[in-house]
Amino acid sequence: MPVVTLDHLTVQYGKFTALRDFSASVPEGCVGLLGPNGAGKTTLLKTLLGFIKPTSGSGNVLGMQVGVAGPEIRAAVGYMPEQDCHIPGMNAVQFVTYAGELAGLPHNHSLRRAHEVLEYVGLGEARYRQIETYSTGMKQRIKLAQALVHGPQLLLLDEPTNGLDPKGRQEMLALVRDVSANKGVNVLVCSHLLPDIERTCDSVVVIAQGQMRLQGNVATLKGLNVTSIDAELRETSGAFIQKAVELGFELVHAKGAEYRLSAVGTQEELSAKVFAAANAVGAQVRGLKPGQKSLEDAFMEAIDG
Amino acid sequence: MANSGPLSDLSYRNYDSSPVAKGGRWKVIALNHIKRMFKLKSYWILMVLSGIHFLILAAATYFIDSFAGNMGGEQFAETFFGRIVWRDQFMSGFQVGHFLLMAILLLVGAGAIANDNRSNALLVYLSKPCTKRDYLFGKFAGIFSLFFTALAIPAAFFYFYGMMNYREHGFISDDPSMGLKILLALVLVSAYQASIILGISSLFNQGRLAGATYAGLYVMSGLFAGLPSVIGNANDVSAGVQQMLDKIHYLSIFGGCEAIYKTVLQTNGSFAMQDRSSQMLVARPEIWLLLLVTVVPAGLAWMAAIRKVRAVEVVK
Repeated sequence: MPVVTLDHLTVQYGKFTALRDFSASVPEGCVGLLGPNGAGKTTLLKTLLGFIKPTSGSGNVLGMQVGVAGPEIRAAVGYMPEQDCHIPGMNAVQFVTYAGELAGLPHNHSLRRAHEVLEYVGLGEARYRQIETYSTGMKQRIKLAQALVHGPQLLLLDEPTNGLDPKGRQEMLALVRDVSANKGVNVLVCSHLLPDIERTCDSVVVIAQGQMRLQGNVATLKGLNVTSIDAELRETSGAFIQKAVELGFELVHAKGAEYRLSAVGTQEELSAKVFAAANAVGAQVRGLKPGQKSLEDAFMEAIDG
Repeated sequence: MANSGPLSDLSYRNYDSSPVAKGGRWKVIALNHIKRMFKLKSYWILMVLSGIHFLILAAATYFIDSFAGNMGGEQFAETFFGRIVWRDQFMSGFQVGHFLLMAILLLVGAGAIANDNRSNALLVYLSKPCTKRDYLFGKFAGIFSLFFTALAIPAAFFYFYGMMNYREHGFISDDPSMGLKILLALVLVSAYQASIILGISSLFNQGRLAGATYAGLYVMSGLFAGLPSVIGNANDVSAGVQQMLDKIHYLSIFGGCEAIYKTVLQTNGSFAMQDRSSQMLVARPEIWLLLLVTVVPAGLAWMAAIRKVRAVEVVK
């Protein structure tokens, strides 16, 4: 069952269209919302939370209608904003407890949850320090803690690794993965960093210029492309390429003596055609394997339209 | 960390306890604000100092009542208690301590929204099931309660002191509804001032700037609105001109508070030790003027706050 469904959603700020006719279905699990800067990712999250009313179209979050059931959606969702955000003059326990109370938890429950969540995100020892004194990595964790405190069914994480050093980034990604895989919380991770999405998410929605460009399972998007094949020759050969094109191949890219070729047909048919082309021009085939796209390839293709 | 590190807490679980409360987020916000401010020593010190008029008056009435008769001053004591208008003392208490009360308001209100703007705290508030209305009303209720407490504790001290000691001098019988009137005046003054500081705070990203703006507005408007009336009195201008100058007197934040006190207490004011006929008192304002100097600025402040408080930047 999808946790978020969007149906021809359009969001405008004055004359500027931030999301245009956006339709997508976000499944359960950890889903990446991938797109370049300014693509409309944050606008989409804020629309889901009810901060922005859609100009047209509709959407559902956990079965509640976007733009109508704002408070109900926010009660079931945890949001970790991209920017630094905290309430001045509070230590971590006070801040997270307060966040829990704002979400509707009774004070004693919220206090207990604050301690649990702070321990979980790795701020156990720093919980009584003023948040203003925290490092960037700690501030990211406290944002995650305040989003988790009320036990949301869906977490919206906006650039969770923003400003983190490599170690902090690894730890944050491990946390995100753990929340999703082991704690049963659905997560929508919004990022422009492919490796982050690749590492944490099961599926991905690619957004560019306010439009949905691609959606699918990460494994599928990276998966075997039955219409392409990687051939490695002993040495570069223009004649081989010419013959391959004659046989119906299209050259996807060439890197030294390695060629990615695509054509209509099964993997076996494509292999036979490669050998035929090599035989015809006297080229020696040293390697042959099904063509595999990286997520970056899929992303770039989607962005380029 | 979840899976590694010495502080791993693998007992973390989703929240599945009591049902999540539906409404009343404004109460959470207000209570949090109040609790944090109550911890500030400066709040309590300023409160005691702002009530100095009541302390001095309590001491003076005690000495006059207890010792003047023994020292041959029966006549003085009789005149003093004959002249004193008890309800006016509560307005005088505000007039004497108003700068300190302004400082209390700056302490509890200037940073209420401005500091949240600086630290993007609105994203935390509004990403919870908490509406803009909850947020603004919660902040308002917090400031209002704190300022009302600062006004009410010294006033309540003097009210109960007077009720216990000076009933024979007309403390209650002069105006039996005095307690209710005072309560209403304090509520209205607190709501008025809390609204204005809330609006100003919403316009800034720093509490200090919001505070400086409020203080500047308070002092400058008080000065420019208050001086013409004083100058008119000193120069013995015609009654018509003086009436006009008296109206100008209320065109300030302090004037707005005074207008509320005078209207609710139904008085023009007086001082305990002075002959009322010799005082240069500004007559209480008409209703239209009261509304102009209180409802209009408070309404504008609320409009500013409603307009400025939002979880997203508007790009046009």
